[in-house]
Amino acid sequence: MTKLTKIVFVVLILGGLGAFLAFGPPKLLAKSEAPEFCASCHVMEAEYEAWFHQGAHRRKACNECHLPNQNMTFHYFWKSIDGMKDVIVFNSGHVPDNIRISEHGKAVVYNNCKRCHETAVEMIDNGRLCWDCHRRITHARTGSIETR
Amino acid sequence: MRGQTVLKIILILGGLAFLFIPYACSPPKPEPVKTTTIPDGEIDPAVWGKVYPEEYELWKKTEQPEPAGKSKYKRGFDADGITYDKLAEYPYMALLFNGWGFGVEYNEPRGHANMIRDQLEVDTSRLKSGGVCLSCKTPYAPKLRKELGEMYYKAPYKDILGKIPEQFKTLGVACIDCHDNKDMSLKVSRDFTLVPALQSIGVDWKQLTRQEMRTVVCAQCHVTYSIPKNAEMQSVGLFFPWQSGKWGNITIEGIIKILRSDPSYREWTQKVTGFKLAFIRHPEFEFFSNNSVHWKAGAACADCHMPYTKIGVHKVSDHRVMSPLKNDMKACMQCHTETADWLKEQVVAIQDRTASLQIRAGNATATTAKLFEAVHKAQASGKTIDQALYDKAKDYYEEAFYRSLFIGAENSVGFHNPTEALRILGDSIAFSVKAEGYLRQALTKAGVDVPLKVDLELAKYLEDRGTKKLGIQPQLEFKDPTGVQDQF
Repeated sequence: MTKLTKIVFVVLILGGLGAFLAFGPPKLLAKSEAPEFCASCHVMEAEYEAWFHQGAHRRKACNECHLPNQNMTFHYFWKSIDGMKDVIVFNSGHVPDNIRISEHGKAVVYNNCKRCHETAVEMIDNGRLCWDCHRRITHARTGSIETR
Repeated sequence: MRGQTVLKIILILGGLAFLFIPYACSPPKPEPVKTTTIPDGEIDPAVWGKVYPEEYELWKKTEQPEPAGKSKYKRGFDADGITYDKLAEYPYMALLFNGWGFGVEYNEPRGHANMIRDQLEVDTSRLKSGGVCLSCKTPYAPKLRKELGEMYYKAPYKDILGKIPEQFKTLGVACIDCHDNKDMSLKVSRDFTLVPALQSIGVDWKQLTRQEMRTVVCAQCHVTYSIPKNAEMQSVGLFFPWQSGKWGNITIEGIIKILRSDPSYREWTQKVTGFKLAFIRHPEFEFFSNNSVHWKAGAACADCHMPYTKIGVHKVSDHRVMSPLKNDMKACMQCHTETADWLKEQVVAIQDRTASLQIRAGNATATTAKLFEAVHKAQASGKTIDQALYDKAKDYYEEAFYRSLFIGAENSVGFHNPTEALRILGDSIAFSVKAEGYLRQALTKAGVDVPLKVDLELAKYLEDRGTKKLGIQPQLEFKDPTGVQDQF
């Protein structure tokens, strides 16, 4: 067996294992797309509860707003980056008391607003953040926090 | 052997690329269908409307009034069709403006669609300044100004109006006044007034954000302006007295300083006092942008007066520019979650308080003007008036007059900037009351007795005005909602 063949075999076996874990019975990929996965870090409890009590966007998972969805490559690329960042920040204890969205995060959410509401907003000013007026969409002002 | 390895690697990479690339492509961005193009310089709104029918239909609706009663103070454009005489609403104005057109006929406005019709129906003494009066009324103004140069300002109003094509003679604000025909971006069309004014406060409109432009295009006209006159009292220009201001801080103090700085800015003679004075007109932009709470929150004029509305599948700015009160507080409820009734009560509360102090300031200024009349009468009959007291009173009178005028001319009755409105009116009262004190002192020194309450003789200034012989209409008068004015 040549070195190349050995490498190919190892890649295929690892890939197969990965595919099994992701798409097979363990369904890790689907599970990591679900809101419960994001909420498994306890610092996300408030945001999860807020989303849980929300209206129209209640049927959308976290990733449908907070990760790029133009295409799969961007989606999984940023999922990896954001995911690892969250793991490191959370496990090192550097989570801020007041969790606010980053500038990049805002851009991602904004693009997702446009993805679904494109036709509605194509005739108006697209320079402002949607939730500056549509405030009930944001986690801080909706769901259980608003009803407190 | 190496060739085979390279080939295998290429095949494997090619296979992987085939797996990734289709998933990395995004669907094409949806583009609205363009039905036709709008030629450069096209003024006819119907041509623009072919490409943007939703906005065009809304713009056409500007002509339609709403049922009466929705706005307590701005009643000029309601379905009752009544022309509300502002001089009857605020009788002290008849005294203060006596001496030129504003003291003859001054009505509540009828909105964008009727701008030129309002000018054609008002007493002709209001149009004496000439063609310059069309600057903020017709979309043809920038073109006419460029073509006619100096003559544009001073030529008679009817002459300049005559140069507008017949079908557009009464066309008010149109698409071309605010939009670029190629991509609908907002642009300043009044380059001969607003652009130099913005430059004087250090702003280049081309650098402004779209949200700021949503205020600036309104600032082409909803501002105070001055028409400098030459020695023969002919109009020689048109400018905004902003030179001592900054973006977000154009103050009444700065405006007054500019107006008082040059005798050519004094456009008219106030009959009651005999003073040659400048004037202030509808300063909505200066007032609103001066640190008001909604300005600081980032709201533009269009956010409240052209709120987004859903027409079919599109969200568009409501081009039926109107008072948010008449639009059932729809604009307010975009951000404020209370009910329309609750919000309207708050607005009316602000307006009532502003109106109360405006009536106080106006009457105080009118009282001081009447005392000047008495002083001049005394001087004419040979009495000597203390010059120091007189000069101080005159200085304070001007300060008081311009302040009460600023708020009286502003069309929100204080709502655009409530605390600033009350501040300005408070100062107006402070100045005029001080001036009144000095004049009473001067008159007493000269042996002239002044009654406890100075009789303003308002009937004299309200009766028999202009060619239409306008008269008193006591049912229109706004009485002080707090009742305090009765004590004066």
